[in-house]
Amino acid sequence: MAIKTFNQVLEEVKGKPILVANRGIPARRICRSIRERFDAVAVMTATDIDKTSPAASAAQELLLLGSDPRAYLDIDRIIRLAKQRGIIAIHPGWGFSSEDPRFPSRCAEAGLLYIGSTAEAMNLLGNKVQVRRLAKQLGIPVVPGSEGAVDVPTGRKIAEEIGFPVMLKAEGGGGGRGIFLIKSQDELEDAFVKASTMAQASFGNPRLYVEKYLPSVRHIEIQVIADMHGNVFAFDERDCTVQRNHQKLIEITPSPWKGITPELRARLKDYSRQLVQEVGYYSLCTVEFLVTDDGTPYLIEVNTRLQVEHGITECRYGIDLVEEQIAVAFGAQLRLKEDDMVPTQHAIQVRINCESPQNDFAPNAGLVTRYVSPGGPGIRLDSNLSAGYEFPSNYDSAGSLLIAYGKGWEKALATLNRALREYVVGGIKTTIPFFKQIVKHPKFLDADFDTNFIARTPELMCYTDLEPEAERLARLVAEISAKGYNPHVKLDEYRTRETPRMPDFRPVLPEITSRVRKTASPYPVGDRAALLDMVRDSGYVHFTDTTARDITQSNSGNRFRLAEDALIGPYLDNCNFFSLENGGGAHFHVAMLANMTYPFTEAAHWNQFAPKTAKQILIRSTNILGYKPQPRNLMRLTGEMICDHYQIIRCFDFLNHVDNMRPFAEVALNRSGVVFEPAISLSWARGFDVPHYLQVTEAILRMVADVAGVSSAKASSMIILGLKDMAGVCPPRFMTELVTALRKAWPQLVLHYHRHFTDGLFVPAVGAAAKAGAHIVDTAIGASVRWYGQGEVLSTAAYIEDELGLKTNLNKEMIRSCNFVLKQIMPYYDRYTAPYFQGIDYDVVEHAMPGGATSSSQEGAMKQGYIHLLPYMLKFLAGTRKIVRYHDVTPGSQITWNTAFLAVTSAYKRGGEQEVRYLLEVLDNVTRHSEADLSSEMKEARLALYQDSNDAFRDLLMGKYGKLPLGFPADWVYQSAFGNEWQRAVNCRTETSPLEFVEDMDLAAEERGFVDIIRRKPTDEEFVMYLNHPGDAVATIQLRQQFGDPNNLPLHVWFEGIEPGRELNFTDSHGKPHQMTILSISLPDESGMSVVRYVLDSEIMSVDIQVAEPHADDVQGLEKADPANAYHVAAPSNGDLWVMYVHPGDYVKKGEELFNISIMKQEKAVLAPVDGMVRRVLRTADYKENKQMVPVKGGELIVELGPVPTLCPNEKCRHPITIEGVGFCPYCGDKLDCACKA
Amino acid sequence: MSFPVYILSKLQGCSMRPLAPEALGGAHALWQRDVRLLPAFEPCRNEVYEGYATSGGPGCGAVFICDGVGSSLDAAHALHAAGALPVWTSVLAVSQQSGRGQMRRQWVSPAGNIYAALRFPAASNYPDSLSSLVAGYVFARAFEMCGIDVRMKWPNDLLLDDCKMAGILLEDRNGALLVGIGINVAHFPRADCLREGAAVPACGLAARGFDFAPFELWRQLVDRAFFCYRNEVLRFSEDGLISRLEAYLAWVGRVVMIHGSDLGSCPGRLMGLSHDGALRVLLSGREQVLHSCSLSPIS
Repeated sequence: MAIKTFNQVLEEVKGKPILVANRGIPARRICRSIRERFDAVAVMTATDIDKTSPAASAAQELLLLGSDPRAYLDIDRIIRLAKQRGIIAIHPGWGFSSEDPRFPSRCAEAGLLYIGSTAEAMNLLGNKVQVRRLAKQLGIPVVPGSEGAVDVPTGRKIAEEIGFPVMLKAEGGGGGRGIFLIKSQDELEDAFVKASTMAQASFGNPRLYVEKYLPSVRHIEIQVIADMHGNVFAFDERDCTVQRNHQKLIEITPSPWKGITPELRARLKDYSRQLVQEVGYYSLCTVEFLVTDDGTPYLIEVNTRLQVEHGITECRYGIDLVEEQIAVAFGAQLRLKEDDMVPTQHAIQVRINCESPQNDFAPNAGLVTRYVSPGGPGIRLDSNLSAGYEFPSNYDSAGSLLIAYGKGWEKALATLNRALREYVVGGIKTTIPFFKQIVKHPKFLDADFDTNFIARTPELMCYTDLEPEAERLARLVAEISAKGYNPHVKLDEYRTRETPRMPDFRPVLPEITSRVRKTASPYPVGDRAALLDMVRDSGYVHFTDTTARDITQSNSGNRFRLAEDALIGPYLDNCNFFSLENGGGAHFHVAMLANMTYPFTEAAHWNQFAPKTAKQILIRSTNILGYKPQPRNLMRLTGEMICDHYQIIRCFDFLNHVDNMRPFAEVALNRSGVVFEPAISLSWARGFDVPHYLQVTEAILRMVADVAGVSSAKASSMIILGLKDMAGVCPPRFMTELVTALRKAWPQLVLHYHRHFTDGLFVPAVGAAAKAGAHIVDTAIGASVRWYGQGEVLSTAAYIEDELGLKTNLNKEMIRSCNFVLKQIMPYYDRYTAPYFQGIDYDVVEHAMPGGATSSSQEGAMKQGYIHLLPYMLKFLAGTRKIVRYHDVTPGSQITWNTAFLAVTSAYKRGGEQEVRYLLEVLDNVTRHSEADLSSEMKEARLALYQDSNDAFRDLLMGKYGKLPLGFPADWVYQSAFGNEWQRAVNCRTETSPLEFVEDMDLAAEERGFVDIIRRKPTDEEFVMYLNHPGDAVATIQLRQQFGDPNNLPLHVWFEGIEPGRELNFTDSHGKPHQMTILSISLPDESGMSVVRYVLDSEIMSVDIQVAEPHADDVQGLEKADPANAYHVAAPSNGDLWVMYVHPGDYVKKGEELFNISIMKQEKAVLAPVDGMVRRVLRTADYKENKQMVPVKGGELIVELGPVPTLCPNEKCRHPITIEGVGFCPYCGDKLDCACKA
Repeated sequence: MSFPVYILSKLQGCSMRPLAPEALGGAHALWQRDVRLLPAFEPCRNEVYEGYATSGGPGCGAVFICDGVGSSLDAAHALHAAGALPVWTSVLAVSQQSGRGQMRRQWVSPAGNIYAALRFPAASNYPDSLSSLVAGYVFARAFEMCGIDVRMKWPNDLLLDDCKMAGILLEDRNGALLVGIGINVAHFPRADCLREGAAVPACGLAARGFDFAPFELWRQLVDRAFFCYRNEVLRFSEDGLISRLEAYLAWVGRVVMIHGSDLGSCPGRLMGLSHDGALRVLLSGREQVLHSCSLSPIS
C-alpha cells in the first residue's frame, strides 16, 4: 500500500461508514474516534438487548443482529451484513472476535478493510507458543517453561528442569483463565488430567504447557503502534499489577513502582519494538511482561488488539490511539515521533464493573435507578451506564472505565479518589466502593503491591456501601406508601392504601420551664447507700413509672420507637419518680423485631433526654435479655453493658431458683452506682404462702450476702427486694400479710411492689402493700394504661393519700403534662397494634395467665381457629397449676399456655368437644381427690393429660430451667408426658441451676462469624445484640443499614406512609432537613411490582416495590380448552411441556399418552380422553432433542382432537383412513367403500 | 400389621428378568444380607403376576421386588393398570435396564442401590403442585429418622453434604401418582460420569459409612415416610407445610446459581417457597417466583 499522510486518510474516509463489530464500552469508545476527526459514519453492531444501551448513542447507525445475544461472535454474518450496508472498514474492538485471526482473513476475502493487523502477523504474535519461540530467537527473556504444549512425561521432565512450583497453562486460555498451580511432582499427574479436561471444556483445546511459577511479580506492559511502512512507536509502560484472579482491575501509567528504572523502561520498549518489527506487525498491540522484585522482566504474551487500558496511555501522551490505529489501517504513515512525544501526565484507570465485590464479585445485572457521573479536571469516563438502563446479564459486567490523570502519581490518585466519591450508581452493586478502599490503602499509595495484592489484602472487602440516609429513608417511605402498611413492623397487612388515615402527627408539647429542668431530682444519684437510705427514711410512698417499658412492649407494634420515647422522656424525668423503667424484658428483643432500634443506644439517649431520674431494667435471671440460659461469659458481657446504662436492675427467676440470679448479682453488686433488685415471682395458690416467700427471701439474702461478703442483715440493707406479681392475682389481704411479714423479718429491706392490673384489684392491692410498708410501687401514666399492664399513677396516688393517709412526693402537674403528650401519641399505636383483649379478667386468679399473655394467647387461639376452645384451655391451665406448681411468669407462662393449648386442641382432634370435656373432667377429678381416692380407671385416664405436651414442658419437669419451687410433681405426670421413657426421665431430673451445664461461648469465633455476615467490625452493642438474639440482631443491623434511622420519620408516616402529592418534611441523623413528595404509585404489574416515583430534595427518583404476589395465571392471549368438549386436551396445570408425542393427523386411542408436563419434577402424563385423530397441536416440545421446555398454563388448549374419520373395513387392518378421497386403504390395499364410515 | 413381600418372576404388561429368592441373594452382597433376614419365600401366582411371597414384618404396604425391568416405574404402572397397587405399595427393582430421571435422563442402575417406585397418595390438604416437594420431604424426614441428615435440592433431589444421594421423580398417569426414587446405596456415579451440567456431585451411603442393605433400608424408609405423611403432612396448615418444607430445603438464604429456561444462568438468592411450592428467588433485587429451573451452589 502506498504511503499516505494522515490528511489523505481523512479525505478518503470522510462520510463513509465504518463498522465497530462490538458492543458496550469499546464500541462507544471507537465510534467516538470515527466521528471526531475522520467525520466518517460510525456504525455499531447491536443485538436486540443492546439496541437501546447507553453505548449505542455514540453510533450514527446500528447494524442490527437480532435476538441472539451471542451474535457478536458470528463473524461471517457480520461481514455479510456489513457488505450489504456498504461498510468500508471494520474495527473489532476488544473481546469477542478481536483476537480471532479468521476475522482479518474473512474481511480481506470480502474486500473489507480490517482495522488491525494481518492474520499472519496476529498468528505470530498472538499465539503464546509462537511468540515465545520468537522471543527466544531475539534474546528476549521469557518465563522458563516448555516450548509449546506437552504431554505428561515431557511436562514432568521440564518441571524438574525449571524446578517447582510450576504452572500448567491452557494453550487456548487467556485473561487469567485455564491456569493451574502445581507445587510438587506428586500433584502433576492428577492436575494435568484435570486441567486438560477443563481446558477442553472451556476453550475447546485440551493442550497444556508448563511454565515456571514466579511468586511475586508485577504485570508491566508496553503499548506499541506500528504502521505498514516499518515505523514503530513504543509508549511508556502501563502497570496492571492490581488484579484479581488474573483479571486486571486497576491500570496505571507510568508505573509508580520504584523498580521501573529508566533503563528497564528503555529495555522493555526495545524488546517490544523488536518483536513487532520482526514479524512485520502493524496496528496497535501490547507486549506484556512480568517483572520480578529484582527488576528481571519476562515476556508473557502479546495482545494483538486495542486494549481496555489504552485510555491511560492516551491521557499520558494527549493522543488518540484509536485514531492512529484507523489511520495506520488505511495506510497512513505513523505520525508519532520519539522526539516530539513527551509524556506529561500520570494516569490511572479503574474498571467500574457491575459486580458485588463483597459477594465474591458476583455479576450484578439490573436496573440502574440513579446515575451521577463524576467530572471536573483530570477525569475521563468511558461508560455504558445511565439512569434507567437495565444492565443486561448476558454480557460481561463492565459498566464503565474511570480514568483520572494529572501531574504526578499523587495528583492522579487524589483526583481518582475525589471522582470515586462523586460517582453514584444506584440500583445495582458496582466495584466503586471497593476501589475507594484500594485507593486509600497505604500499600497501594506506596506502590508496594504485586499481582497478589487483592488476594492477600482481605481488609479491602470490609466496607459498608451506603447511600445518603435521606435517600434510604425516602425508599422506606416509598415502600410503606406503596404497600399501605409498614412491613417492618411485622404486624401483617394491618392496613391498605385505601384505609382511612390518621391525621398527621404534629404533637403539641407543653413547656417544661427551665426552673423545673434545673431542679435536681429528690433522689441521690450514683450512690446506692444514699439512695436506699433516702427511700427508707423519707416517709413517702415512692413510684416507679413503667410507661416506657412494661406498658409499651408487648408486641412489635405497641412498643414505642425512640422518637416517641424522646417526646415523653423529659416530662417523665420531672415527675419525681423513684425510677423510670425503660428497658429489659420483651422490650429489648422487640426493639430489634420491629423498631429497628438498638436497645442500648436507646438507653443512652434516655440518659441524655431524661438525665435526672434513675433508669430501671428488668432481666430474666439466667436468660438476661434472651429466652434461654446464657453462658456465664455472655452474661457478664451483657451485664456490664446493662450496668453502664441502667441504675436499678430488677432480676427475677420464674422458679425463684436463687442460684440462677447469682452471676448477675456478681456483676451488679460490684458497681456502687447500681442498685440490685432481686425480685420474687409471686403466685397465689396452695403452697405459695407467706412462710414460703420468707424462705425465698432468706435464700436471696443469703446469696447476696455471700456475693458481697457481708452478713445477711447487712445484705438486706444493700438491695431492694422486688415483689413481682406478673399475673396480677395476689389479693390485697395477701399483700398485707406478706409485706408485713417481710418488714418484720428484715426491717432494713426496701420493698418494691410490681403488679399487673389483670384481676381488676390493682389499686387496693397496691394500697394494701403500701400501707403494710412497701416502699416503692409501680404505676404508669394514664393515657398509656391498659388492663394488661400496671395501674394508673394519679388514681393510685389518690387512693394511697386520701383513703389510706399515706404521703407521696409526685409532681402531679408534670404527670398531667406527660399524660397530655401521651394522649396524642397513643391513638397511633392503638389504631394498628392494640392487642385482642384489653379488659379485666377476674378469672385470672384461677388460670393465672399473666397480663400481656392473656390477649396474645387469645389472639393465637383465634388465628388458628380454636377460639371456641379458649374456655377449656383456661380451665386446663387452672387445673395444671395445681399439679405442676410454679410461677406464672415469663417464660413459664408460655410453657403453661402451650401445654394447655396442645392438650386441648389434640383432644379436640381426637374426639371433638366431647373428648375435651372428658379430659377436663379427668383433670378436675385428679385435682380434687387425693391419690388414695382415685379409681384405677381415673389413674389410667389421667395419663392422657400431658401426652401431647412439648419439649419445653418436659424440660420444665426435668428441672432444666431450674429447681421447681415446691418440688417435682407426682410420678404419673412423668408417665403422662414421657410415656415409656418416664422412668428414665425421673432418674435424670435435676435441681441444679442450668448455669452449671451451660459452657462458655467462644466469643472470638462468634465475632468472626458475625463479621462474615455484616462485613465489618461490629460495635460492642451490636455484638451483644447478636449474641442475645442473632437472627433479629442481624436483621436490625441490615435494616438500619438499608434504611437509616427510621426514628427520623414522623409517627404517622412510620405506620401509614404518605399519599401521593402530600409533602413530607423530615430531618436526617446529621440534622439536614429534607423534603419528599410522592408523584405516583403505579398499579402493580404482572410480577406484582409497583413503581413509586417521588421527588426527594428536587431530584426525581423511582423505586420498584413488590406490593403483590406475581400472578402467573395470566392466560390472556392463549387459547383455552373448552372443558365440555371431549376433544379438547388442556394442560392440566401450569407447568413446562417437555415432550409432545403426537402430530397433526396422528390417530390416537383412548388412554394413549399425548404429551407430558413437568411441574417441579412431577411429570404428568396427559392421555387421550377418547379415540380420535389429532387435528391441531398448539404447543410442542422435545426436550431430549433441543433441551427446551415450553411453559404452559393450566387450562390452555394443547392438543385438539377430532372424531376418527374412517376405518379400513378389512377386519385385520382397521387403520384409520385419514386421506380424503382415496379409493383403496393405504395400509392394506383393500378397496374402500362408503359403508365403512365410522 | 404385617405386610407381604413379593419376588416377581413375571408381570403382565411389563417385561423383566425372572427372579427367584436364590438369584436375588446373588445379585449383590447387600441383597444377600436382605434375603437372609427375610422368612422363607413360598411360590405364588395369580392372573397379574407370578413369583414368590413372604411376610416382611411390620410396615404399611406390600413391596414387589423385581429385576431387569426397564424401570421400577414401568412395573408399578403395570401393577396399577391391573389394580394391584394400592397407595403406599411399592416396587423395588434390583437393577434397571433403562432407569430414568427427569425428562427421561438416564439413571444408571447397577445392583446394590435402591430403584423404587411407590404409589403415593394424591394431594389432599395441599395443592397438587406441592406433591413433588412433599414426596421429597417425607423421604428427607425418613432418612433423618434413619440417622442420615439430608436436605432437598429444589424441588426434591436429596443431598447429603451438598452431594446428590437420591433422586426423585413423580409420574402422574392414569390416576396414580407414583414416586420414583433412586437411592445411591452401594454405588454412585463418579464425577466424570455425571451428565454435563450436573448441579452437584453424587455420593453414596456406603461410601459415607452408612451400612444399609437395600430392602431393609427401603422398608424403613417407606414406613417412616408413611408415618411422617400421616402425622405431619396431613396435620399441617398450608402455611405450616410450606415453612416445614422450607426448613428442609438446601441453601435457603444463600446465593446460588439458577439455571432456567429463559434466564440463562445467573446468581440469585434463594428466599424460600411460594404457596404452590415454586421457588422464590431474589434476582437483581427483585423477588421472582420460578416454577422451573435448576440450582447449583456457588462454592
